[in-house]
Amino acid sequence: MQNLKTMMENLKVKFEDSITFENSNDGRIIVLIELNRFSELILVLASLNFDQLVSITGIDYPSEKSIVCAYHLVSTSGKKLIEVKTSTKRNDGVIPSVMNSYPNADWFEREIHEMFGLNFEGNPNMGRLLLPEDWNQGFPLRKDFKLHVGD
Amino acid sequence: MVFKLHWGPQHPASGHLRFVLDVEGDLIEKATPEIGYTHRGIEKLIENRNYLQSIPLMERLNNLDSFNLSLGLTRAVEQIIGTVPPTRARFIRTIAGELGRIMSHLYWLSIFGVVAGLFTIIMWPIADRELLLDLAEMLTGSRVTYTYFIPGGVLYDIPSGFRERAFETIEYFEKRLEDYRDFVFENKVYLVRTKNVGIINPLDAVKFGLTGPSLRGSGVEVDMRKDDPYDAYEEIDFKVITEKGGDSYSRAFVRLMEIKESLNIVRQALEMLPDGAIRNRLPFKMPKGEVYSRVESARGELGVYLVSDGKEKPYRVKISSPSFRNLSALQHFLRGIYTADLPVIYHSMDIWALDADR
Repeated sequence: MQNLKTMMENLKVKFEDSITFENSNDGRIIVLIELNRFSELILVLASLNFDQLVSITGIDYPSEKSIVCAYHLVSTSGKKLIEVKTSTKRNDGVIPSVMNSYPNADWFEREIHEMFGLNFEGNPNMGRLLLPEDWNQGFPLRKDFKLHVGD
Repeated sequence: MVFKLHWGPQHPASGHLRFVLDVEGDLIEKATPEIGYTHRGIEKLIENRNYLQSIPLMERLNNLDSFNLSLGLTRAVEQIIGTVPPTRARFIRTIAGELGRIMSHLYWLSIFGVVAGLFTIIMWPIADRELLLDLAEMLTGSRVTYTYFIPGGVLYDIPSGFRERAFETIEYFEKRLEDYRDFVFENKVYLVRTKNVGIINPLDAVKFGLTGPSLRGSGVEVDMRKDDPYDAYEEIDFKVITEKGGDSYSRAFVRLMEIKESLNIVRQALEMLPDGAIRNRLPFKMPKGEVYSRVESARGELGVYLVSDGKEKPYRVKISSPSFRNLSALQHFLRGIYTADLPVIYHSMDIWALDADR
C-alpha cells in the first residue's frame, strides 16, 4: 500500500473541493466527503487495499437537520484505520449502499435504516433487523425519541 | 423440494437467535439469521446515562467477557480526555483482561465439545473456570460483572495473596490444557465432526467481515493487542495465534492455543508488575471529541465509536460488536452444508446473541 500522505494528496487531487481531511487524537484518518461523490470514494478506497469494513455509525444532529454516517474501514495487511463521513438530510435521507464493495455492510445499513430512518440505495434487504416486525413507534436512536429513565 | 426450517430461538444449541433455513433433504440451500430477541437498546440507554453509569451497562453486552467489554468504553473515554492510566493500572488491566479471555474461551470449549459430540467435556472447563472466577472475585469482589475498569485506571489494587494464588492457577492450567488437548483435540469423534467442516478461505473471511479467533483460524493475522496496542501489551512478549486450515477445527484450535498464550501474558504481567498509583485524577468536565476505539475481546475486535459534546452524558455511542460481525458473515458460509453440521460451524465462531443484539 502506498503511504498515507501520498494517498491523501492523490485523493485531494481527484475529489478537489468535495473532500476534507481532519486530524484525530487516536491516529485514524478522518475523511469528510460530499454525498454525491461518496460511492466513488468508497470504490477508490476498496481498490487501495482497505479490505474490511468494521463499522457503520449513524449520528443524529437535529439542530443541523442532518444525519451523519461514519464508515470505518481497515486494511488487514497494512493495519490502517480510516473513517469516512458523509451526511444526508434527516427526512427521507438516502445514501448509496456500499454492499458491492463490502458485503458485510448489509446488516449495518439495515440497523441504521430502522434506527434512524435512512434508506440505502442498492441494498435489497431494507427490512427489520433488531426491532420487532410490527414496530411503529419511530426511530429509536434519533434524538427526539425519548426514554423514560430513572423514574 | 425445498422446505423452510426454523432453527431456534428455543433450541439447545442455537442461543437466543433463529436461523431460517431453506433445506432440500439434509442440505441447506440458504440460511438467514434472525436476531433481535435479546435487543435491549444499550446504545440508547448509554446516551441517557453518564459515563460512569455506562460502564456496568456495557458489561451487560456479554456476561462471559465483561472485563474486555468495559475496557472498550473505558479506553474510548480515556482517548477523548487524552490520558493514559498509570503503569501499574495498565498491567493490572492486562492481567484482568486476559483472565476474562480465558474464562470466556473455557465456557465456549464446554459448549463446543457437546455440540461436537463429546459429553464429558461440558464439565471439565466449567469446573476449571471456577478457579478463575475465584481469582476475579478476589480482585474485584464479583464473579461475573465486575465494573472494575474505570476511566483513568482500575478501582482497587491487587489484594495480598493474589499473586501466589494466580501463579498456582496458571500452573494448574498449563498442565490441564494438555488434558483438553488429548481428550478433545485428538479425539476421533471430534476430528470427524470438525475437520474440513465449514472451510472459510482467508479472502472471504476478510471480505465478509469476520473478526477475532474466527478470522485468525483462516490464517489472517489480525489482533488489536498487536495492531493497535493498549494497556501493557506493547511491553509484553506474546504471539498472535493463527491456523491455516480455515475449518471448524482450526478456529477451535486457535482458541485453545490462545488460552495458553493468555496464561503466558498473565504470568509475564504479574512478574513485571511495577509499584505505583492505580488511578489517574481526571478532569471534572468531559472534553468534546470523537473517537473510534478498538480492543480485542475474547470474540474479536470490539469497536466503540464515542461522540462527546462536552456534556455529562455521551452524545452517541456505537458498539460494533464481534458477534454481530461474525454472525452477519456466517450466513454466507452456510450454503451447501448438512443441517447436522450447522451447530458445529455456528459454535466454532463463538457467537453470543447478547453481544450481537446489544
